[in-house]
Amino acid sequence: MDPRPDITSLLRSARAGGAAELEALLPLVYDELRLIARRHRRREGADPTLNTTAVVHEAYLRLFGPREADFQDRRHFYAVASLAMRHLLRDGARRRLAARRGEGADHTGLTGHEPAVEPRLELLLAVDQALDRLRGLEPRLAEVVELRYFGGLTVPEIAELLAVTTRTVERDWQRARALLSLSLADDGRVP
Amino acid sequence: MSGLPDDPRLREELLGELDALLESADDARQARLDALRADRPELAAALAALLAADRRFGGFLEEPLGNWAGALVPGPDAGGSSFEGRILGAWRLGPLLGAGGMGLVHVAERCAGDFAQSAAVKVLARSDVHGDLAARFRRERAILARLTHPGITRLLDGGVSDDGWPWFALELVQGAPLTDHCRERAADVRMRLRLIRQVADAVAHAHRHLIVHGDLKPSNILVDDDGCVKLLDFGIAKLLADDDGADLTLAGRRPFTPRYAAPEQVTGGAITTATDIYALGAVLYELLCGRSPHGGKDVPEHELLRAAAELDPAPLTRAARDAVADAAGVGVVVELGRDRLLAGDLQNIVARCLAKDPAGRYASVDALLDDLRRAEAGEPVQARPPSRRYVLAKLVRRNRVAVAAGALVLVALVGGLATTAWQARRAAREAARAEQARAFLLDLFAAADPSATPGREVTAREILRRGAGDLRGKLAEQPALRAELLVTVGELLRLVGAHADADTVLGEALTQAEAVHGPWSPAVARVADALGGVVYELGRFERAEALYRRALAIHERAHGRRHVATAASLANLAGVLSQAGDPAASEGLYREVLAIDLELLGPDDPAIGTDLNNLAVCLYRAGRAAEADSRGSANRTRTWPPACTTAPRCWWISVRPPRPKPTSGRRWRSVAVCIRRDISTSPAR
Repeated sequence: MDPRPDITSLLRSARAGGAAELEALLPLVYDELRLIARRHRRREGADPTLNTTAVVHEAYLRLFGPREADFQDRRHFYAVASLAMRHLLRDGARRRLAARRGEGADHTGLTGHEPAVEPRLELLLAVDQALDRLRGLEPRLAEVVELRYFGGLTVPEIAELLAVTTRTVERDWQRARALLSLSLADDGRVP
Repeated sequence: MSGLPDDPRLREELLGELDALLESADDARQARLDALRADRPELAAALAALLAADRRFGGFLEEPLGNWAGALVPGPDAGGSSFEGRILGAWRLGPLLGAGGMGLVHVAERCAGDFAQSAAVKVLARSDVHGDLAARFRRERAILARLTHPGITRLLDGGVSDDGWPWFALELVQGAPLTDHCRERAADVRMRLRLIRQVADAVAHAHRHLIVHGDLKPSNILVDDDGCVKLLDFGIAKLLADDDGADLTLAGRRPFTPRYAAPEQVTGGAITTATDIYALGAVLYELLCGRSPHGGKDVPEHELLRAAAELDPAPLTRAARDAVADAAGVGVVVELGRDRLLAGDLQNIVARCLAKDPAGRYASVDALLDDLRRAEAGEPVQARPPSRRYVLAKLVRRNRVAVAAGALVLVALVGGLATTAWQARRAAREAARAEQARAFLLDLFAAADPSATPGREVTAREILRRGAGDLRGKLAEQPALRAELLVTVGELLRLVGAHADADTVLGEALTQAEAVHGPWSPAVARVADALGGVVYELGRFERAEALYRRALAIHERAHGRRHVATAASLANLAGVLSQAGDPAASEGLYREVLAIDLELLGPDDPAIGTDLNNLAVCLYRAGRAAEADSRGSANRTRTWPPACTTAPRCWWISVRPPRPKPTSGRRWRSVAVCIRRDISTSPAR
């Protein structure tokens, strides 16, 4: 009935280092997040918020069921889900910017115009790029950013997943925040 | 990551210092930086840059993405907080009923005034970017108020919230979307046809009031438990358009739904009644075969749009076979398979509605309704590809005047209304004649063979001239129709500014009408009125006066002095006397007209507005501006009933100085258009 490939086995193979398996996993999680996020949006109606934390956790529940998953599987899932959420929001930001630039490309429906959103779109895309650069230098900082900023995980959750203290997570986050900020400033971005 | 050392050891040192600085108080941080500057200037500079950047962008990164990322996920894309519990206008919003591409729909209760009323309040998912939606709404409300049909949801109220969200209160309807209703009840073909006829009937009603829906689709068509159809959102699409709303063919960007969009919506062409006919065809198609003309639910939007513009949909029966997966539709497919004749007729009807070229579709919803009835009754339908009319219509399109022609007929009707009170009262009859005139125009255009005028555009004026010429040799056996068409062509010639031709044609029409109906027939009076208008605009006041007096005499003989038709003729005569330099006589006649109309129609009739206005203009011309002003004010402060749309224009005229003597039909046409715009832009009261 369920055509989805076995998520646990995919996660395991991905963990074993298969890039192909990770590639297979990412779109799966991406689609799951997108579906859930859309439903949340419908439920929340006019509210511009999106509880990314709730979306990611719900995706986890849908993919693993209520049973307690293997610790490594969980860690890997949240890493993949945070990355998928990052892609999802990045794609959304690109779409919106394209629609705005396209002047008239977006006339088939009525799109909302939350004024405060527009300037943030470019910043979000800049963070996304800076994060790739950060990963090259300090992979752990990048992972903390992904889990916290995109995955919406709390500091204790991240500490548990990464098997470090909350103190370490907090410090990593602060460092990453300053480094990403510097990157944004160097890009000539305006907050 | 500029400014960050490549050497991991140096980097770790930098980040360690950063930790310390971030966690210390401002004073201590500055002291530490100063100290570092002395012996490690590079490190200090890098740290200072990091701290400065963190101060600028840290806030953005600390803010949870979830606070605003909803805008990045497709969904009902409104901003602001939930509207439940809010008060918009006189409405307190209750729970959410639903959400769609346009916005959110809440149940609402009236919380002002002393009566209870429920409504569905739709809050649009876009802010009032043009800043004029509220004004446009007020303008349109008068027009929308004319839509009173059991199949059309009433628009009750609307406005823009303090924080910029446009909203509408609509009659609350309990029902299911048309397609769901049919699926749930496994409706048979005849039941589906009955429903679509109900829909078409409501649309026809709106079209008779010159209102186009522009976004018909199953989710806009609800069916209640009694099987009664209710159309939602009439006029909403137009309200949201970027155009001014004055034109009858609604160009400009308007929201539409790709799945049911007509080609002209995709390509940015004029949105007309033909657009609604296309949508009716698309909905009928879906009802009969279970999927929309250009594909199932999984076809992406851009492909739907391309297909709407370029591809012919699969024939019904084939599409129906393909869509058998839709279990509830199986009955319909089997039924159509058994009744090949009905299937064939419905295919032709649907194809006619879905013609790419608007001119290739049914000329009116009534014509579509006729064909649906015929198909059900087993009579031959009109739609048969490729029909002669379709070929003719193609020709019209090649002449590139199709849109202008449609507009012309409408301007003829509406512009005519604006000229005299009598004609205003004739509005209903004029509307009924529209179809006839339209059919005749098609033939007129067909006569203008493009090969006869190679390399240039054929003007409407030329076509009308040729049409008038053709009429002379034709229809000898139907003199009444010929007289009628001569009048129509004459009036159109007047509208395109060909007054000399209009004079000739209407002169012939007058002779013809006299011959057919006798010299004392009201039909003759009508032609005399029309011809009087032409010569009046040519500045030949004496002849105009004679014609108007003739019309007046006919009306007086037929109806007596105290009759609305007589009063209208008196008003025409007063107009020409005013121009001919006899303001006293003119004033007397206008006062008499006012008295007659007041007595016969009562003080709330729209005609009174026109009468007051005429009198005001007359007084103004006679240099009695103060009196004119009081007349005009009386007019403006009057509370006209909602259906009254002619009254507001009166003030518009009276506050302006008298126009220079009109010398051309073009000017008068523009006056008519101005007045028409004024009607539609004036607040309802």
